[in-house]
Amino acid sequence: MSVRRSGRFCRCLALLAGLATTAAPAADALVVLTVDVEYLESGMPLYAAIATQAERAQQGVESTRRSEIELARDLRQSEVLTALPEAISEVALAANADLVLDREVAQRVGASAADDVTEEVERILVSQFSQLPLEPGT
Amino acid sequence: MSRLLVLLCACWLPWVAQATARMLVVDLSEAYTRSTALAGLLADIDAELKALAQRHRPTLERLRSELQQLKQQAPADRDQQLAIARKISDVEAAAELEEERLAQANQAAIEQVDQAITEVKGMLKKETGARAVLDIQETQYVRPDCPCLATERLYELLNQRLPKVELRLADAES
Repeated sequence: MSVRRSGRFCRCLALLAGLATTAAPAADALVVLTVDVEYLESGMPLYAAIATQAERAQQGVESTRRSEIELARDLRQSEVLTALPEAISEVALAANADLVLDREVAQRVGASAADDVTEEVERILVSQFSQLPLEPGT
Repeated sequence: MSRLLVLLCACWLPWVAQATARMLVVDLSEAYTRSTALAGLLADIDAELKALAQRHRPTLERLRSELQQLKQQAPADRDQQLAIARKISDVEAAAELEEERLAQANQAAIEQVDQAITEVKGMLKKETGARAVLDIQETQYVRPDCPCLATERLYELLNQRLPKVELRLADAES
C-alpha cells in the first residue's frame, strides 16, 4: 500500500469515526412497541368469555338477579379496560421500551416495523381476569 | 480496500439515518399553566367575566327588587310589572350576548395558540431531525425518562414564539 493510499484510507476511517460520532443519537434511538388498541379494548375473546359467563349465570334466575349479573358483567369489562394501561406498562417495562404506540399511530408516524406486543398484553389480561367469577351485587 | 470502505459505509449510513430519525413526545396537559399566552388568556377571561357580572348585576338587582315591590304594593298593575320584566329580560339578553362575544374571542385566541403549537412542533422536528412529534395522549406508554420527551423544549419555544395572546372582543354591533 502506497503512502498516498494509506493516507486516503486513514481519511476514510476518520470519516467513519465521524459518522460514528454523529450516530451517538443511536443511544437515544427509541425502543418502540405497538399494540392493537381497538382489539384490546373491544375485540378480545376475553370479553366474549365474560359475556358467556354472565349468560350462563343468568339462566333460570329471577329478573333482579339477572340485572345484578348484567351489572357485574359491565363492571368486569370496565375492570379489564382499567387494567389495560397497567398491562401495557408491564410489557413495556419488561421489554425496556421507551414508547408504546397504537398500531394506527405507529403506521402514521412511519414506525410500523416496531414489534407488536398485543398478544403479551392480552395474555396478562387473560391471566388476570379469565378465571375470576362474576360477583353480582358486590 | 476502497471497496471494503464503500461496503462499510453502505452498511453504516442507513443505520445512522434510522438512529437519528427519532420520535418526540410532548405533554400538553399543563398548557394552561406552562404557556404564558394561555395562562394570560385565562387571567384575561376571568377578569372579563368578573367585569361582565359587575356591569349587569346592580341593574338586575335593582329591577328585580322593583318588580318584587310592585308585586306587593300594586299586584293589579300588570303593565308596569310587565315593563320591568321586559327590562330584566333585555339586560339578561345583553349579558348573554356579551358572554357569547367573550366565548368567541376566547375560541379565537385558543386557535391562535393551537396554531403556534403546531408551528412549534414543526420547529422541534426541524431542530432535532425527528420524524414525528406526538402528543402524549396519542401514546399508550412513555418511559418517564424517555429521551423522546420534549415537553420542556416545546414550552420554551412556544413561550418565545407566542408569549401573549390578545383577547379580541368583537364590537357589540357586529
